[in-house]
Amino acid sequence: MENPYIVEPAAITSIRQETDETKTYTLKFVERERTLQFTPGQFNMISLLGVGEGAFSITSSPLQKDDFEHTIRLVGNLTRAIDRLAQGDIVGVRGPYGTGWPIDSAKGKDIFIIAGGVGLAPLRGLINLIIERRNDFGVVEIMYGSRKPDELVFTSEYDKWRAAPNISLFLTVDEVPEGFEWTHGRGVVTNLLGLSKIDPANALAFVCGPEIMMRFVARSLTIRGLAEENIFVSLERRMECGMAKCGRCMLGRAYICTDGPVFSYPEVRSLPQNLLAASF
Amino acid sequence: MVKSTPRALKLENLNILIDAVSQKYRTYGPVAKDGENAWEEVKADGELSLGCAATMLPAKHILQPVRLDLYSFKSSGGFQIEEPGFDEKIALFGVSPCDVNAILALDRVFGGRFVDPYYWQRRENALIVASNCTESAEESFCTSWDTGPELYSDYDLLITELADGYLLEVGSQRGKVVVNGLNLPGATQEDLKEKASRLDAARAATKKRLPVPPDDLHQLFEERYDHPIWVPNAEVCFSCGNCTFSCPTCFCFDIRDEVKPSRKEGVRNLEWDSCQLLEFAEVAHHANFRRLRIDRFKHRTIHKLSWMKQQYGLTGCVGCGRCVRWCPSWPVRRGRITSLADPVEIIADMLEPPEKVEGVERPGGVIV
Repeated sequence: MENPYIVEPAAITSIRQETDETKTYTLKFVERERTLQFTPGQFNMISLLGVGEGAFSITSSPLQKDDFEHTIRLVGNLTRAIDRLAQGDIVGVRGPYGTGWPIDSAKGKDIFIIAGGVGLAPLRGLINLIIERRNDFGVVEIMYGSRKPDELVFTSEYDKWRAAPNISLFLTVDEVPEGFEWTHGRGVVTNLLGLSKIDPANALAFVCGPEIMMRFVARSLTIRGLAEENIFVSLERRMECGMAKCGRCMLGRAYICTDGPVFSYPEVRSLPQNLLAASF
Repeated sequence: MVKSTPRALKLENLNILIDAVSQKYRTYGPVAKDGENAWEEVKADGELSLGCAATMLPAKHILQPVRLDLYSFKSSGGFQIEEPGFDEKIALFGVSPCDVNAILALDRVFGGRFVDPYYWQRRENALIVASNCTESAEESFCTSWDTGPELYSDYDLLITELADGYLLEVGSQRGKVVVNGLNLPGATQEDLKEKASRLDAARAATKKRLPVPPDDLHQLFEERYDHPIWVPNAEVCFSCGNCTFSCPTCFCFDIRDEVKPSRKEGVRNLEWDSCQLLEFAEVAHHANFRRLRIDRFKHRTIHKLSWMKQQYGLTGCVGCGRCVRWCPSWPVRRGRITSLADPVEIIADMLEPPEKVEGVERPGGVIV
């Protein structure tokens, strides 16, 4: 019987420092030629045997076949141990798991990509996929906020994103340190929606960030005329298995690991115990 | 589900069958232990305590042990993984109908798109010797779910206690192999009649019932998710997890690594966990997606009574009554001392008009 709990060794082939606390790791399977088939928005379970295992979204584009990337912020025991790894070190990987962003239904449409903090991670592969398949999609507006300018992730790619046709990148931060030169927005990410030129009637929105931020983004988008069912959000919960067995990520009747992490906004609104819930 | 054609036999005493089963299987059954009954290995002369959900813990821990090794690992640069073998053939002897129904629910949890080999290799080879309930415990309400006192299918062998022995019904080829060669006499029409009348009596003795049809529960919990009665209930919950550990359909677990001091080798193991415990949904920085006791209390209750049916198509409550019995909190409701975890009482709470619940001015979530 095949054992889906077994992890496969993957080597870290490069590490890029995104912020003080966040790094992007490029991984390649060690033992066999294997291309990870996935949709942006899906995640892998990554293990450091002896430390633990956690769920991390895949941040590279699925068109990047030779290897894949994860962007990981140092927040706890496992991520601290991951933070200490170097190029050439081996991690265990199983996956991909979960639902991805509904890319097929976005074809021919304009797209809002709205993220907060490290919530840009599950959207970065999507952005790069859109750039690689630019003609499949309409106008794209990326609206990204973080607490401070030095907490923005994927900054090395912003020029490439801006240079792609019909893609705009709007940035905002909550606070700017004294003496720091900052020419973008200040305040919450919903402020950026005022700059949008997208017609909400023919658009989809892909949103990821803290739940409270997604709640207000979804509300602002619906006020602008975007249909609720055209808004998609990505949720997170603690997970042990990624396979709807351990029960940990359950949100009402939904498993974040297999029914999500990408959900349509009406789906999330119908679930309890989250900040987007209708009864909240 | 295919209804099996029973081949009915008459059994003088259980030792004959325990003997036959334990020749081929490592046999577990409800055995008296420390003043309670527990699932333990049964020898041919062992004394079984059959009866209505007789054991403190259900048989699930034989199929999904409280703690099991997923694999051992060695790391030196890369890593090597060694999986444990699974070659044990086990028999569950004397499983009550509610617990067989609970196993069917676990089958769906550990099956599906990702098949859990640890559960299934045990389950696939397991012999289910079920035992119909000819008496009813006070806490049980299986008749409301149609999960007892009689089992109609999904057994290898099924026993029913009669005045002068046992009726033994064969439900599968695997069961047939066990009883072949025992030269048991066929059951008579009288035996079958006696079975029917004993089970009718057990049904009649099951007084405890859900106050609404099971199909209405989904709507009830949906509409009354914010019912004020959750607040006083959650305030007297100890968050101990007894209701979940004793539940035959609860399946949640944790995965942990244990390492030797060298940190070069260790074991990744799986251990039961409970959504009622504070740490269950905790993540880094002590953020907790279910910090409030009321959220944990609601989650367990509604998952058992409604969400599990939506997820797996089978009820998450089989009416065994273990949570009723093992809940340590017994508040007064409707003028009676009741078990806090009791699904029947909780549903009755939900049916109270929300505006009639008094004294709930607290925000409903202060207790962690």
